[in-house]
Amino acid sequence: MRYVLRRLAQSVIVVFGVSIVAFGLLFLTGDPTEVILGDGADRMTVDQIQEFRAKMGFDRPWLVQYASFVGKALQGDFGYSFIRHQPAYEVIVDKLPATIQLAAFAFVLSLVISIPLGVLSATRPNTTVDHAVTALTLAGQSIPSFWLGILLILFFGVELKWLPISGSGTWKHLVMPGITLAAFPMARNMRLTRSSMLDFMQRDFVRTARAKGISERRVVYAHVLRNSLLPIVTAVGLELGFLLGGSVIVETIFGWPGVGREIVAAIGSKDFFVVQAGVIMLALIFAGVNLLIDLVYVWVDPRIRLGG
Amino acid sequence: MSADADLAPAPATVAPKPRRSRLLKRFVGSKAAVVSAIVLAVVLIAALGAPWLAPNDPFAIKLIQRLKPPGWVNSAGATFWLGTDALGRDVLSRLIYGARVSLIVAVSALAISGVIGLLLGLVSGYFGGVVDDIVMRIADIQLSFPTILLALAIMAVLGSGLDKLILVLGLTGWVQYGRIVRGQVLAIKQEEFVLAARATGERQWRILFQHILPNVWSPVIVVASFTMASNIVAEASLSFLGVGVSPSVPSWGTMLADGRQYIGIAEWLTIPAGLAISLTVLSINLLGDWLRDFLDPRLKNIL
Repeated sequence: MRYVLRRLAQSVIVVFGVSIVAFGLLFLTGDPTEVILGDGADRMTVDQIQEFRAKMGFDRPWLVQYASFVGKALQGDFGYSFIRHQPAYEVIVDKLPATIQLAAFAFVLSLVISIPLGVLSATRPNTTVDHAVTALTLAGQSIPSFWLGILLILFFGVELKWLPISGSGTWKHLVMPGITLAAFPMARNMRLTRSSMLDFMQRDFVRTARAKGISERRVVYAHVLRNSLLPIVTAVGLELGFLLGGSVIVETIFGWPGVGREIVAAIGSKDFFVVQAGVIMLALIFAGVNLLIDLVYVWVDPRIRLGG
Repeated sequence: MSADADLAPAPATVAPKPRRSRLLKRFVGSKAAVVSAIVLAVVLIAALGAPWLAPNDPFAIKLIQRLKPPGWVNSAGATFWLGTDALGRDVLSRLIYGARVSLIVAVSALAISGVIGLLLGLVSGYFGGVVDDIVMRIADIQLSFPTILLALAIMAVLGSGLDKLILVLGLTGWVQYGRIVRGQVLAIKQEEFVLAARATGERQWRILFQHILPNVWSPVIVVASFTMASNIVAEASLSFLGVGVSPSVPSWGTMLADGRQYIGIAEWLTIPAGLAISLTVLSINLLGDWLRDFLDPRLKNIL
């Protein structure tokens, strides 16, 4: 219980930090008015700019501005997009389902492929299978997602014409972005599964299990794999951060209509409030899921509960 | 090792001589490490010697010779081994100059985050208490942002540019160093040689920098090698998205962004740059793995 409370307090601090950083973005260049107006400021008179500054409240003390920023954000008000003519919050929330769909697909894909392959290579160390999996791991960790995406488009989209190269709608649209986004976490999970399993295979309790005469299959799955999964559960939280961050790139390459592509488009059109709202939203989802994972962890691994 | 150093009272941490020859032997014994080192040497030479190695001006825009395939020769007799891009610039020359941008950004950012992370990790691990709490909370907050997203947001506000990119990657990259150094310090400060130094009444800062610091170099070097790889990818990613270096600068990321618009028309725009990034990152990763196993195999569990 003490752990849960401490973990909750930590989340509150993180959310506070996210708000500070998101608020601070406006002041990075020294003048928030400039950030919001962008090139538009060139066409305005000094008086108009002053008026805009007063209207947005940028002439007030920082603390007051921050309080009003948080107050509004709590009500779902993240400013207005002058380009989309829509509240920034709505622009982002509309795109959220697409991003979650893509991230979830990539997440499942990475686990479904990496864990069996990791088991396969750990149970046959130093064989051809093991070397192939290791090579795959290295490639997956070294090929940046944007290039992998381009290669897939070239091969499956342009050459073979099997899959659509951009957009969304059918399951076919999901395949290439999903693989591209999943590649890196897949490689890492494979590596993790393999090394974690090799580690547990040396332990006494596994030797005992073998000595009892139970089948090798049962030793591998019931004893070794089950224990090896714990470090993978830990890595899952970080993985989600990668999926959300990576979605920005993958969505841009494949024209996937999600939050990431929206953020990049908003950067291009200097639509600051949309960028801010998008970043806050993704960071909050990330923090929320991490909290959830840690709480599930308490339930899975009683050692944490007891250790406090 | 100089004679002076040999005569000086040897602190426990000075690497004894046999270790160096062991390093060489084990290095040559690993094919992956040797090949990686060769690849990285090529990249380094390209970066340092770009003005002499590049066959053509990487900035020269000539629309009349746009999108020519690899091996094309113009009327003046200049050969474009990897073809030209949409503005008629030489792809090979841009690739060579791209190595320069990649390495400058990756190394400078790495140095900034390394110094910050090392100092914060040392101080928070050794002194603990409130300082430790604050540093670790800041680390938590930063980890709550996917790094690329944080860098993207900051660059979006600041605008693209080499110097800004270095600063942003440098300032956001310290957490990994900080955490690992802190963990090591927590363990080392319980060791007898530290307790002994304390018992003799040495000053805290002296203990921290003379006794503890030399023992955390291994993980720092290993983290640095992995950060080097992730910095190269981050530079390319951000440049690809248009918020890294400014679009006219020849970087592997901007080359891919340009080439993306001509997928299916001009593969020579995307293949070389992508290959350059992947091979460089792969080599750094392999060398990093090797370095980790050589310096301290126990790090395998945490890195």
